[in-house]
Amino acid sequence: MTFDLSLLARYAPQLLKGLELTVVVWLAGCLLAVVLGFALGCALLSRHRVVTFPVRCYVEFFRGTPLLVQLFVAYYGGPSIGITLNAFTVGVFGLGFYGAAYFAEIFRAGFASVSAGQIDAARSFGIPRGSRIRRIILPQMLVLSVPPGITLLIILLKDTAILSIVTLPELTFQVTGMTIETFAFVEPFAALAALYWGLTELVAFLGRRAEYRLGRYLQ
Amino acid sequence: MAERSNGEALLLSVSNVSKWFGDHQVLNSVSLGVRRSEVVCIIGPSGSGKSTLLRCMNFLEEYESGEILIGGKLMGYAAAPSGRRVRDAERNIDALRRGVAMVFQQFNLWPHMSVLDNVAQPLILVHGKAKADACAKARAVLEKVGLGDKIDEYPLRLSGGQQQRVGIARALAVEPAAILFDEPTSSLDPELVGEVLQVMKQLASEGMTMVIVTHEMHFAAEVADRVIFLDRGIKVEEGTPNEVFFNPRNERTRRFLETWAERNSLFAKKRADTVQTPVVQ
Repeated sequence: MTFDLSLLARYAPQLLKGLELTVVVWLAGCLLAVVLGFALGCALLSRHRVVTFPVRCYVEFFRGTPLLVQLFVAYYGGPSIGITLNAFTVGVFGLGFYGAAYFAEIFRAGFASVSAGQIDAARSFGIPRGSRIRRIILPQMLVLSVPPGITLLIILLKDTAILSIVTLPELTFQVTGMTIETFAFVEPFAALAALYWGLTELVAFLGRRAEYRLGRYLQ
Repeated sequence: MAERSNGEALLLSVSNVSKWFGDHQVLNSVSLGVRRSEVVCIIGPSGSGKSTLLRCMNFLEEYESGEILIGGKLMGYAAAPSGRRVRDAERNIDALRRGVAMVFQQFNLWPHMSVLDNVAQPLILVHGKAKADACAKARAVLEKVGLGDKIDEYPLRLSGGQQQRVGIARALAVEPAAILFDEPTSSLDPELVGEVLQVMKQLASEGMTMVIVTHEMHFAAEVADRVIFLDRGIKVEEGTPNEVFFNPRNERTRRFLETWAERNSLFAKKRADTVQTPVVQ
């Protein structure tokens, strides 16, 4: 068996286009996931059940069902109720809504792990609520959210492969097309694995650096 | 109203304060007054409500009945039009809290801030000081507690005794009318207790008004102007250290102190019996 590098060279433009789209849809989806997840995480801390209950339902639904199924419903089921979305939109919102459920839990746990004593100290000095949140809770909560947050970003990066089933021409979609045209499997999938792996290693590396820099006070 | 003596207004007055956690009454009509420059120690068994009482004074805990006055102003409550009292606006509560600083058993420093920032932030966030002024003040109080060389460290890198001294510096920096100490040495190694008590003694000698919940009987006997013994939410005894420690009137106080003294003397005796003094030949 031979490993035909020229095959990869021939398909390099498609692969790079796919890679670019993968990164773009991932970044956009993650941005939505982080922002929405933060809002949902804050809502989960509310004392009012009218706020926490719907958010809890949201989180449980998106964590409890496969991303694949959510994407199918949005892309193929949407038109039957009059909502037609293009593949890119489904990709970004699908990834964003799905990731937000996990980020909500990460942020909620981050908030909860700032000790009550620290808040007591701030209150005892008469530090107003707004400053308490900005200066004492948020900075620590963000640092505590970095390690699980990075893991989630990596998972979401690999989950972009699923977007190929809604015809988004991202990396996996391109590679699948390549195998159909050439009947070659080893080269395309080896390249696919290598590219995902390279990307995730990069994210992990940046994540470790962020973790080290931000969390210096814990060392 | 709490008693007034020497015609001097009370800095801090607690009158008939009661508090419940659910069905459990933790404070039962407790009253006490603190005058300027006075050191009041509150002792008693665990669960007697000592810490809760202290936390009520800074309104970290609400209390159901009675009054706590800080400089003559009611802490935590305002009269509603209906005549019943309601929780005061947070702004008003925070304003009263500014006059009374607190030192905690678990230090409760903010770990993500440097030692200097821990002390300077309340000055910036609450007292409206410019950053440079706040840092200068913070540096000065940190020098005072012997931590001038640790200002750039993070709290978690310090020993417990050092962390608690940062806690005291943080309280001192805001120039409070009084400082409340909630078991300030209870989570320290025995070897680190001394350095914290030393700082507190110095403050007492400089005339700082202090209310101290403590299990350090020697310290209380030496430093306190007044000692209060609390048991199951009731103030059962109050007097000078001499009265409370050496001539308690109440049966419960006597038993508490006897148990404490017995444990101490047993330990001292056992040590004397078993520890061999090296014989120099």
